[in-house]
Amino acid sequence: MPLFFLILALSFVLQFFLPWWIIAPVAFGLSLWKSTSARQAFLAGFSAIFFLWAAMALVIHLRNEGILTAKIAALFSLPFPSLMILVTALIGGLVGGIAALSGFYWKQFLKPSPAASSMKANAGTPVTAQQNFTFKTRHNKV
Amino acid sequence: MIGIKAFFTLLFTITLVFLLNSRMGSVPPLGKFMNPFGGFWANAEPRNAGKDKNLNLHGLRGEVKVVFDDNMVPHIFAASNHDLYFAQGYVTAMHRLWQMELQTHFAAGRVSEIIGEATAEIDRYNRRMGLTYGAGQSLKAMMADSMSREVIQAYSDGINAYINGLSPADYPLEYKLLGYEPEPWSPLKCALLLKQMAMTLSSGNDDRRLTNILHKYGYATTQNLFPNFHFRSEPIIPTDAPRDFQPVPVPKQPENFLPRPTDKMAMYEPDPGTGSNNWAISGSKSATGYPILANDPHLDLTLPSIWYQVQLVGPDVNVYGASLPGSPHVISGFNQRIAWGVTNVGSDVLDWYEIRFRDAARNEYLYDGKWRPVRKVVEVIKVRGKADVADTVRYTHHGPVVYDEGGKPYNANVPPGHAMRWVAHDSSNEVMTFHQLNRARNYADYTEALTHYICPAQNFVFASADNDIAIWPNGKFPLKWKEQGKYILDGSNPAHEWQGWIPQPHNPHVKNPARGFVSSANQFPADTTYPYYMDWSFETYERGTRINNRLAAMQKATIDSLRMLQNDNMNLMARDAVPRMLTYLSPNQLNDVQLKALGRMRNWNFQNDPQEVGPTLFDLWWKNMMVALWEDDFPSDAQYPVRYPTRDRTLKLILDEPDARWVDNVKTENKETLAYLCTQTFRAAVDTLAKNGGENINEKWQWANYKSTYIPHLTRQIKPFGRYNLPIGGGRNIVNATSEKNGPSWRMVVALGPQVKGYGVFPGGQSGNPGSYYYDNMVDTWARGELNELVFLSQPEEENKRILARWALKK
Repeated sequence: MPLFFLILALSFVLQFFLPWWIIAPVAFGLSLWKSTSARQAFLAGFSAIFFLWAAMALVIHLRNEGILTAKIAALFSLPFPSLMILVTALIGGLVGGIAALSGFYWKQFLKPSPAASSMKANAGTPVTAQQNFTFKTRHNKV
Repeated sequence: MIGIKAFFTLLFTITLVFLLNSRMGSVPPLGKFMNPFGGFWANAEPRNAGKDKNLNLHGLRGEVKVVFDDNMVPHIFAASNHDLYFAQGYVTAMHRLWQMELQTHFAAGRVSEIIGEATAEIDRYNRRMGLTYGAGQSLKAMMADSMSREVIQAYSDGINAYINGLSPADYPLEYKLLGYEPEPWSPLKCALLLKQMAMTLSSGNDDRRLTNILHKYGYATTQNLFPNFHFRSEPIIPTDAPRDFQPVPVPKQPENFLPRPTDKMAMYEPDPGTGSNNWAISGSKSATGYPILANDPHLDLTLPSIWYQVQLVGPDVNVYGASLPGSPHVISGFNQRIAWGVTNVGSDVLDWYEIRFRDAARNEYLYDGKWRPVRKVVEVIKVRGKADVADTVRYTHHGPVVYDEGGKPYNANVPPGHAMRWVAHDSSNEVMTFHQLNRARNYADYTEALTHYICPAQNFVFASADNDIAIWPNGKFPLKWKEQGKYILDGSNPAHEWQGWIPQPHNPHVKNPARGFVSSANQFPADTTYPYYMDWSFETYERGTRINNRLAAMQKATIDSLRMLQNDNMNLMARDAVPRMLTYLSPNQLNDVQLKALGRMRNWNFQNDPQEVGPTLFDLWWKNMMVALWEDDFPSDAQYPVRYPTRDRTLKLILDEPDARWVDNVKTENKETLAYLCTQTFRAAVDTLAKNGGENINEKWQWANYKSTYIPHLTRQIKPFGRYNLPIGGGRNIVNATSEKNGPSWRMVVALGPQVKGYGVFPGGQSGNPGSYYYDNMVDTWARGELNELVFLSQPEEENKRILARWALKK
């Protein structure tokens, strides 16, 4: 949950100044720091950007009375204008999710070797809270 | 293992971001385009976007107040002319930047930089037409005068102040969709925009087609079918108007010259619907005792709209009207004292000269018995995603050789060329005219303003609170011998050159004519007693005659009387031709559907109203008739391109010359008669409609549905950004000149008097942003034939319940 909120908040703020793809380094970096499992990382990254983009698009859509949504949806041959919001959110979500997932794997990969070797033994399974805790502690000392 | 996952997910992330940030053919970069912070969503404006604001703009000298009304029209109040035009540039760019830039890119032959290979030929053609060359000439003249220099520079600086304040998220939608960025504006672009108008309005000519016809049929026949005045035409200047000048001698027509026929003719031909109406009635005809003026210029309809409404208030001016985005001032509008409007003159100011080159290198051409060198200009067209295209254009002293080949070479190795002489290439400063018209207080100011105007020539209609009305078909007109430039001219003979100009005070004009009104609908400016040759062909009689008939009958006219006339749907050609065509028609040769259609035709009142079936039947019947009469003699696919005689000439043939040789189809053995053609073409028209619309004459046969008026996006490609199937009557050559995609691009009616009152509308909106409510909010009002009352303010603080926002622009 904290990862979700962190990605959401930081992406929201940074996107006002930086190009759209800043969501990828944000999700990657925060996941590197905060992720606990591949599943958790992907879901947090995906849902944070999905939610952020959907909410932004929805607010804009409503304030614009749907004028532009309808035109762009027609341009992309979508049957309903509101699908445009979904497509938008899916694209953002996908980038956020994949980037966060990658962040998690890099976190595993960069771990001090004992933990890393233990990870290699059960690759693909979620890391334990204990492992995560040690990483955090070490990190916090730096 | 984890290393591989880490590596591949990262690679995948980077690839995904890269792909979503890249264009795929015509598909915009999806991630970039859809992100709601900077993509298309950022262009979805809330309807009430124009709340009160303070802006600091580098370049202003004082404070400017901009008040926006409920149609998003800016009312600009500035203490100096510099700040006034700076603010006009800024605000116009805010609403129309993409359109302004694209139109000037088009004129400069630079669209391929944005679109790619598909437009390279259009760019090449516009370069060969020398639009940039002409714009450069005009720019010199504009910059040589301190007033126009200040205006053009301030206007350009204002546009750049807007561009400089943009981040990519703020770019107009089309930049994001097409994937490019705005470039800085320059005064040259203002000149290019005016040349683009010149291209639309003054480049039409038939020299090459008529030359080919001359070859085929000889002079007498050509003269008979393409005479130098139109059947039934009422010229703009009434025949009884006094002439207040002593004509200057006209150059003598040189010995006969028969130019070679030409076979290649890939050239831009303006939409035949491009024309306009304007008129003014004197106080003697109006309910208030003061004049009322109306104007509706007909152009290809596009979104964003061609026009941009603005009120400009400065130290010596308070004017309201339609401006052209990319050019300062108001082009058609009014102030407290006067109103004016424009329609196109369309006289012949573009002629072709046959060039004899010395050899295949085409570096020298014959002139006055000597070889002269050409000036070569290499045009480099940048093509998006492809290598640059270089094209060499040869300039003679006449002008550019637009065509390097064509026709039978007079020497097998040396194909002839055709050089173009065009007024739009001459140095000119139209900015001066509009600057003065915007400030004009009376007839004298208006005529003074017109002396500066060159091209594209316009019929300037005028009305003032002093109870004067007037019209001047005005521009710079070459002083020609009769029919000079009707056919291709001899580029080697000095006698074939333009040898002077019609003195500007001799341009056709009339002030306060006895009939109590002035009007124009692109017809002949003056009758055959006018001492100068202007062209052999103008618009045919229908709109002009209809307007004059109705104005002549008007008494105690109001704003609404003139508005109704702008929406007049009477089809004069049908009224004049159908009764006769029906006498030729043989009902016993018609089937059931054709008979039913004949019944509808007989009961039609000749109004092109939206629900009528008559106009649909007549439109197709007339088109078929034109083809049946002329296609065999003037085939569309001839090796040497020709053209049909005009509509009015066709009408004359149907009414007065039923036995003319043209009635017979030379490709058949039978001898066709007019009765045969009328019946056959009517049957074919009904069959076509029945095939497309069904045999029961239903709503698909109705005029508005059949005509299906639409207003496409400026690119003509992005369909959702246009408006389609508008329920509207009228049509080509009807006063309400709304055809499929051409029509009244701005309608204005102004009542002069102690307090001027203006009404107007255009088929679009003030904003150029497809994501704005104000992109097309006036389309429905326009289609209903209604006008908006125009908000004309005298103070920025003035209370008016139609004001949405008040902005302050500060230095």
